[in-house]
Amino acid sequence: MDILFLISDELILTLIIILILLFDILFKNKRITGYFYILSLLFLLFYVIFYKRNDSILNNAFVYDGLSWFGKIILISGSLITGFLSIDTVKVKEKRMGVYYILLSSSLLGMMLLISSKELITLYVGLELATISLYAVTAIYKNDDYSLEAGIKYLILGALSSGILLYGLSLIYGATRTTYIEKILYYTTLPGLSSVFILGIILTLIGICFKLSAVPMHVWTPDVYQGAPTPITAFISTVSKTAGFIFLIRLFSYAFIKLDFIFLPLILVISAVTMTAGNLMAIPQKNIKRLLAYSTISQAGYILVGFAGLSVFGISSVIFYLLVYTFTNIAAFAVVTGFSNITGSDEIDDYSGLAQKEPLLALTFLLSLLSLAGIPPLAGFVGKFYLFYAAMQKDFLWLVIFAALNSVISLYYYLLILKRLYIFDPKKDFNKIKLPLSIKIALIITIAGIIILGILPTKIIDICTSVANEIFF
Amino acid sequence: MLTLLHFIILSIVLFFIGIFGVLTRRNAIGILMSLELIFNAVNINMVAFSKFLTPQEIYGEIFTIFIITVAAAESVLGLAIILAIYRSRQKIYADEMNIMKW
Repeated sequence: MDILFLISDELILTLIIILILLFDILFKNKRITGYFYILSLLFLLFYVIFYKRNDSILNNAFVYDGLSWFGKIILISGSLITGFLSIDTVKVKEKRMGVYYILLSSSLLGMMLLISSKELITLYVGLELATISLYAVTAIYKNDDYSLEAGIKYLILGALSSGILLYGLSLIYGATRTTYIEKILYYTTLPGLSSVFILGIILTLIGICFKLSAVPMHVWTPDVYQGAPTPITAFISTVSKTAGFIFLIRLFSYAFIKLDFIFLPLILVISAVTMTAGNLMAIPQKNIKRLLAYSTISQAGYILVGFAGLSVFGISSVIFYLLVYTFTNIAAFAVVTGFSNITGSDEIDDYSGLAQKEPLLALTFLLSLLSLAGIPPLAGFVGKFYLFYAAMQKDFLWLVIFAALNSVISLYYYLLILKRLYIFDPKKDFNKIKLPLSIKIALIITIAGIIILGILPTKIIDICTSVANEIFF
Repeated sequence: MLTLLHFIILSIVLFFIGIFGVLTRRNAIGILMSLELIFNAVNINMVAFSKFLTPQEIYGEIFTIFIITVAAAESVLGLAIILAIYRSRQKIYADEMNIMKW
C-alpha cells in the first residue's frame, strides 16, 4: 500500500493546521477559523471512517490497524464536539483565537501519532506533541490567575511524569535492546526475565497513569480542570484520556501481555484505589468542574477494570467504554460550558432550578450523569456491564463487586446535583442571554450518542470485538 | 575502566537528585532545572545502553536527540508561563501557587 495513503489522515490534519494559520493571518473575522476547524474535522472524520486501511510502514514503527482506526474516530469526534463548544464561549483576545485552534489540532495530531505507532521513540514524540500543546492551551487566558496556575501545575507534573515514563522506557530499552514493540513482545517470550525490565514496566505504568489521571499521578486533575477554559477541560478529560488508554493497550495488553502476572495485580490495585479516591473526594466539592474532575478520576478506575479481561474481551470492552465515556463526559462539560456562558458561574449552588430556565441543559445533564453512574437504558450502563463482564471472564469477582459499590457512591453525588436541577427553585437571576446555537448542536449530538449507544450497542460492540481481534490476528 | 554499571549508577543518582529537586524547590525555575536533571539522567542511560549493549545500532542516540528537543520545548513553555505568572503576581514561588486546592 502507498505510504502517502497510509498516513494521509495525519497529512490532512497537518494541512488543516497550516490552513488555520493562513486563515488567521488573512481574515479579520476570527470566527472563520473556528468554522473552518469544525468543517475540516467533520471532513476528516468521514474520511477516516470510510477509508479503513490495514498496513504498517517503517519496520512496524507506524501501523494502521483496527485499534488506531477506532481510536482515531473517538479522538476526532471528541475534538469536533470540543470545536462546537469553543466557538462561542472561549473568551481569548481576537488575535489569539487562531492559536487556540492550532494548539487543539496539533494536540490531536500528536494523539493520532501516539495511537498508531508501535515503536517507543514514535510513541514518546506523539505523547509529547499531544501534551505540550495542551499545556499551552490550558494557560491561554493570559490574564487569568486560575488559568496560568493550572498551566504551570499541568506542565510541572506532566514533565515529571514523562521523566519517570522515559526512565522506564530507557530501562526497557536496556533490557530488550530494541525500541520496536514487536521485538519487545518477542523478548518477553524468551526464558529468563531481568529485574531491570520489570522495574522499567513499573516506572512506565506510573508514567502513563498521569495521562489517565489514575491514582499515583491524579493530583493535577482537579486543579487543571478548574483553571483551564471549559472546552479544553472537556478535551483533556475525554480525548487526551482516550489516547492515554490506547497507549496503555499498545504497551500492556500487547507488548507485555506475556508478563501479566507482574503488571496485572498492579493495574487492579491502581484501579480499585483510583475509583474509591475519585468518588470519595468528589462528595464535598462545591465547584462543578472540580466535582466532574474527581468523577473522571473514578471513571478512569472503572476503565482499568476492563484490563483485567486481558486479550480480546478486555481490549474490546475498554475501547467500547472509551467511546461511551467520550460522549457522556463531553455532554456533562458541554452543560458546564453553556451554563457558565449564561451565568458566568461554576458553583454547584447556582445550578438550582436550571430545569425551569434551560430545559435542554438540564436534560443533557440528567442523561449524562445517569449514564456516568451506569443507569440503564443509557450508554454508560452497557459500557460498564461489558467492562465488568470482561473482568468476570477472568474471575475477578472482588474487583467487580468493588466497582459496583463504587458506582453506588457515585450515584449519591450525581443525584445531589440532579436534585438541585429539578427540585430546587432558582436562586440566582438568570440573564436573558440565549444559549448559543453551537452549544445546542453539541448537546443534541451528545444526547443522541448517549441514547443510541445505550439502546442499540450490538453493532458497535461487534466492531470493537473485530478491532480487538485484529490486534492479535 | 568505566563499565556500564558506572553510568547506570550516575544516572540513578541524577534521577533522584532531580526528583528531590522537583519536590523541594520553592522557586518555579528551580523546579524546571530539576526536571532537566531527570531528562539528562534518562539521556545518560540511553547513550550508555546504546554504547555498551548495541554498539552496531544507534536507537539510544536517536532517542536522546528527541528527548533533548522535547525537553527544550517543555522548558521554553514553562518559562513563558512562569513569566506570565510573574507579571500578574510578582512572585514565582511554587508554594504560593495555591489559589486552587482540594
